[in-house]
Amino acid sequence: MPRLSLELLQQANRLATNEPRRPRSASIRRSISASYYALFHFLIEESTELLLGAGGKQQAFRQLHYRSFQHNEMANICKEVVDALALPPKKCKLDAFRPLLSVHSTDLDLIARTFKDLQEHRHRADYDIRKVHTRADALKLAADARAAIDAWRRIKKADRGIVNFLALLLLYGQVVSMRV
Amino acid sequence: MTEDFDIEELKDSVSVTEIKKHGFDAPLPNSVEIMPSSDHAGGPALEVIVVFPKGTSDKDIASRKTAQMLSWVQNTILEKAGSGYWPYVFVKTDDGGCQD
Repeated sequence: MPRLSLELLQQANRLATNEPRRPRSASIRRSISASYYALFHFLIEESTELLLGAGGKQQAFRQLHYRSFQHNEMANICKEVVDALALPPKKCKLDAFRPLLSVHSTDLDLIARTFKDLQEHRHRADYDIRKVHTRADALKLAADARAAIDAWRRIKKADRGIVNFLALLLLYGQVVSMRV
Repeated sequence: MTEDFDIEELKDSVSVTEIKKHGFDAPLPNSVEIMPSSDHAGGPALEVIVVFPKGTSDKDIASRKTAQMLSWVQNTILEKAGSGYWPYVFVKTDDGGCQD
């Protein structure tokens, strides 16, 4: 069965391109929202599988943990990852993990930034009626979500330990960063 | 939070001239606007609007090449302003947006 995240990504593209001339504001807003949720669900699907196992027997555990992921906490930890990769040593909460994170810095930075960006775009698309969103915005954000998903897959293929660590950060990020 | 950067300097650092200098080519924007803003949680942020010329195709704006340029714009602002003022990048074309 196709994953929810990939269906959402397809939906984001469909909504952005359905009306060939001037797209409806509602279509563009829903497209942007779908792009965010595509990445949100992808990260949780992957994280729960990595942390709890991908088999059918673990499905109940995965579903239980699915709701433990918090939007704001995930965005906060993404900002910490960006800081750890960009700021001088000792100036960020994840400083102790810098050597680990820097191995795949380009892809990690892409995932973290994209999540933080998409979350804000989704909020504006869903709640800020003054904001005009364009088809270009929606298509760019769908492409960004796809690029972040591809980046996660590249890291997973190269080094499962790092995606395991990232999964832990996304679930328990604030706890991890407070303890170091 | 007190700003420890100058918006005009930030704009200069990601101007179309700078974008060209860094090797990016078509599709190039007409302008890059930066405004102080806040995120959905009320935290300080920057709104960065990259305006492409009228007629630039959506496909070009969503292309990998453009994504690299927009990523450079965001990264340059992040380096200068710090992640305390997260730069949210929006794109638009001079011919407007969607039907409301």
